[in-house]
Amino acid sequence: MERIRAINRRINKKGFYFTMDALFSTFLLIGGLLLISQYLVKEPTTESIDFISSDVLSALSELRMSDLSENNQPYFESLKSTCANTRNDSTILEQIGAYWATSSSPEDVQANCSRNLSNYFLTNILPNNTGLVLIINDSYVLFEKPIDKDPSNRLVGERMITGIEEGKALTGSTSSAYIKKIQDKTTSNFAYFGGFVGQGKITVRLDDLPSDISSSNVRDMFLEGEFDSDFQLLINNNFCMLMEVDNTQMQRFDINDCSSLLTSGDNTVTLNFTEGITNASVSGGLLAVKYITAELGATGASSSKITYLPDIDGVINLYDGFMVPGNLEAMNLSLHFWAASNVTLPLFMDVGSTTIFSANTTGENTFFFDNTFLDALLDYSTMSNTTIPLRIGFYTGNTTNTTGNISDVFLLTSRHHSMSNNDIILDETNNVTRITQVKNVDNLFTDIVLNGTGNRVGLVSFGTGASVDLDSGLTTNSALLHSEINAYAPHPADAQRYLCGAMETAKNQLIVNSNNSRKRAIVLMTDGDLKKTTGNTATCAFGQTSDRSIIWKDVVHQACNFTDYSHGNPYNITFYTVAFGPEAANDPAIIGNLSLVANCTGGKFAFGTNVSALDEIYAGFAAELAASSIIYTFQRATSATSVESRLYGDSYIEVSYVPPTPAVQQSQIPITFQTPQFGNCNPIITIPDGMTVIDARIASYSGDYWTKGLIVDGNVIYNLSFYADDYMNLGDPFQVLVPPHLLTSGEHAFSIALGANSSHTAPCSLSANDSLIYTGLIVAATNRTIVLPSSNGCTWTVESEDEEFQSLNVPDGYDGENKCNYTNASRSYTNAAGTYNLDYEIADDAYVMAAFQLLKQLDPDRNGRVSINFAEEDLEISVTLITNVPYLWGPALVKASVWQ
Amino acid sequence: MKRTRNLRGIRSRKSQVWISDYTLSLLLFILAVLISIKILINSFAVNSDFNELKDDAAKMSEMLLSEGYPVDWTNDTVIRPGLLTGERLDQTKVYNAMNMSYARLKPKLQTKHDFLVIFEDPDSDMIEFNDKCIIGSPSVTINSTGSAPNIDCHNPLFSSIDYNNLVKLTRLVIYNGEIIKMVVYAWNE
Repeated sequence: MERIRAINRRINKKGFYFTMDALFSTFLLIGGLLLISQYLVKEPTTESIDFISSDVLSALSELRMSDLSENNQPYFESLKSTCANTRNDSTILEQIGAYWATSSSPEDVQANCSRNLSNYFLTNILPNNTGLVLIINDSYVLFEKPIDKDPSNRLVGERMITGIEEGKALTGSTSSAYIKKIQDKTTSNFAYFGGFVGQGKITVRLDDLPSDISSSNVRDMFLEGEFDSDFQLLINNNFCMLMEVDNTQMQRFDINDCSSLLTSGDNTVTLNFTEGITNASVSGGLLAVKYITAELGATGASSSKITYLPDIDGVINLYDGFMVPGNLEAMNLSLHFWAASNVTLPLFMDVGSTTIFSANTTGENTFFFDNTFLDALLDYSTMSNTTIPLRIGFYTGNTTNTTGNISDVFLLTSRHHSMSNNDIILDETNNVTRITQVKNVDNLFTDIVLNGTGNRVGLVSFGTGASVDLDSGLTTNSALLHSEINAYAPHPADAQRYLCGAMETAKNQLIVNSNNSRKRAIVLMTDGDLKKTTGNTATCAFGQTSDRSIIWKDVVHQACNFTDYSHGNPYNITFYTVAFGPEAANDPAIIGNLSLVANCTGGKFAFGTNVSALDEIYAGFAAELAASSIIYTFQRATSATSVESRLYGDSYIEVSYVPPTPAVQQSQIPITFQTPQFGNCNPIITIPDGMTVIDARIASYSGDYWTKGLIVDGNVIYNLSFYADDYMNLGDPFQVLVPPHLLTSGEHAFSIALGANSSHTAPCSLSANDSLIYTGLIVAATNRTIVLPSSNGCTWTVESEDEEFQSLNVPDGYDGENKCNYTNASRSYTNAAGTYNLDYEIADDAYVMAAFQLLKQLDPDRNGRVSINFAEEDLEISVTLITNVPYLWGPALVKASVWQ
Repeated sequence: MKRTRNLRGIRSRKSQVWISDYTLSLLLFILAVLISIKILINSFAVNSDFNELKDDAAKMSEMLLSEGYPVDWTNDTVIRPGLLTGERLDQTKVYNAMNMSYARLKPKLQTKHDFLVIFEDPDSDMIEFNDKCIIGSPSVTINSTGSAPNIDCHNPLFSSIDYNNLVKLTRLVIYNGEIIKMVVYAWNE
């Protein structure tokens, strides 16, 4: 029972405990929940630090050292005196960064300055429970405010500072160089001969030489080309030298000795060939003058260009071309020529394959073809940015060598005592002696006849005693003939006029030295009766006699026999007879007999008593003996008879176009270069870096062929077959335009083709002597250098293309110890610290780098020799040197890390 | 027999204890669940308010640390009362804002909460602008000495107001060539 009560008590107590436990638990739970809810529902006062980091950086970026200077001058001054690179205009952040950047160790003065300045501004500005670290480039702590608690949250702001880098200078100098003036710029001018220029005396223009041209300024002068025979070279019509030619190859002659003949402005270059017309030509060539000048030059892209034609005195036979270096808009053409009165072949001029002019006009003429005329004939759209063939010559008449127009002529001249008579009328009051006049007309006759290619003249004189004189056999040597003629003098006594003997001498010469393919003639004259005043006169068939009729009968008989086949003398010799002067002209017997001689041989008779009449007689006979014909073998007139003519050098072609290249700027210098000879027809040409080509042309030697094609980097630049498949009447330019825009810096592949027609191609080796001549612009000023630590200057040694060395102080007045070289051997800078190889290293001096850059620009081929020779005062470094230029280091990264 | 009755009695009372325990526990459990739900709901609601308050303070600080609109605003022309001119605190603009009535300023700063803005130097002493030293609610007592125009403000006393949440946001700004603190207080009741 007791046990039951005990159980019951225990049971009751248990229930009580549970209830009380539940109540306590409930109260505790509710209390806890209330506390929690109280905590959650009502937030405690909270301080936000979201903006602290960005505000710190913004404020430091906005505040300037000048603010510090105003608010706390002593502190600023102490910084300034203690810390290098303290700048009034820097922001605080920049200044802190500058101190850091110029520190060499974390504990040096500059590093302390950065920390000091950071502390000054950041201490006490943060809430108490907020920590801050200001750090630069994750490596250097500028400021730190720790708090005891571990960071519960951390906010980081970042800001970049440009222009600083640890251990590097903050500012430096920059400079630029330009050429104030040039004393000696090395450049070249050229006179060009066309693809084939002939035939005769040839003159071309050498234009635009500078005002300071002189033999001392000429560095090189040469003449190169494919010449057909020896010639005299004349500069400005002054003899330069005699050139001995090997016509089997292109030759280059050193003509530096002729440089004294050059004058400023326009000059002429004349080739006076010593041989006959058929060998008086040049198949491409040029005369180059390389000189130094103080003129900067103003050439460049223009909108018009005049191409003067060569002056050809002989037989006009020109195969050439002209360049249109842009989009052709208009052109004019002036043709000035002269053709002898006996020229019967028409002269023509073809532009491309279009005949602009063709006429059988003699005498001196000028024809002007304006744009309206030419525009109607030519297709301008195909004539832009290319080279147009130009052909001027005579249409061929008979094309074989069997025309009979090649003449062998003997001049028979009396030197009888009576030739000294002064009775040939010059004008109303003056006479000349017979001998004087006969020498004049003999020379005139000789010139005219010999002007016909292949013609020959021989000389026989009589009345000199008992016999006759063979003064010259048949020859083309006009000088020899003139010499003999000019030596003629009357016999001192009344000698016999052995005309028959003279005729016989001439006949024998013609029989031996000529043939039936040539026209054979004898021109004879007498100034009086053949009968001697006293004594006998020799005859050919009747011995000595004083019978006048027999003497003349003998002459006529002999002459007619020379021609008349029926008389057994089939020599086909034609007689041209002249009753010379008043005595012969007024003697009917003389006139009659001379007429008989002329008539029976198919020749002509004339008489004259005055100078002009006799000139006309002899000229007429000569012209008749040299009738026009011309035969071409490829481009060369291998036979040209009676086509004496002249193309005047003031003939021109003017083209107006839109230039593709910009005009020369003030800071640019045009310099002309000629590449070495190609060696083959597929050269690779390198245009130097930094050069803008404004004019370029290939000098193409084509011999007797035509330059038929030029390809540059796969672009067809010139194609002669575009005009015709048969090139015979097409021009052959020696200079072939290369559009400048194609010649950018770097390598370019050229391909040149020669040929006789569109289906023929000549060997590649014929182009071995070709070269590229181009004008490039070199910038005569530099951009500013990068920022460099110093700007002291240097004494330069500069080598020029002619291997001269000059000393330059840069800047002007520099007298320090630094030495610099811009030479073929070395491009270097030496200062107290050591030597820089400027090809690979950047010097620490702004003046040095500016001058080096300028010299490099003036050395397009990068051979260490500048194209300009400087005198000391001629290179000046710009005084706009800028110091304290911030470097573009960095950026350095400043971080502000904030936490609570 | 008596023992059997006693046992029945014990069993009978035992059964009653368990029932009452169960009933009481159930009641307590239900009460705890209800309270927990309420706490959770309350907790979310309060967090949202707090964040809004915090955002509002940030927004106000941003607005104040601008040039305002128009940039040369006066109390007559003001649309948005920024206190800077060229990244630096403009004394005139601050003074204008301090002179603006709280009722007018509050909508200009686009806030529904109460706020107070003060400026402190690096020594945490309040900066006076002429005879004024606060922008915002006049309800907060400012511990100061002296009186206008020579008043010297020390610190605000938030015991003078009743609030549920109070946010303090410190910004740094340049004034007279120094970095000072602009402290924004925002609270709700």
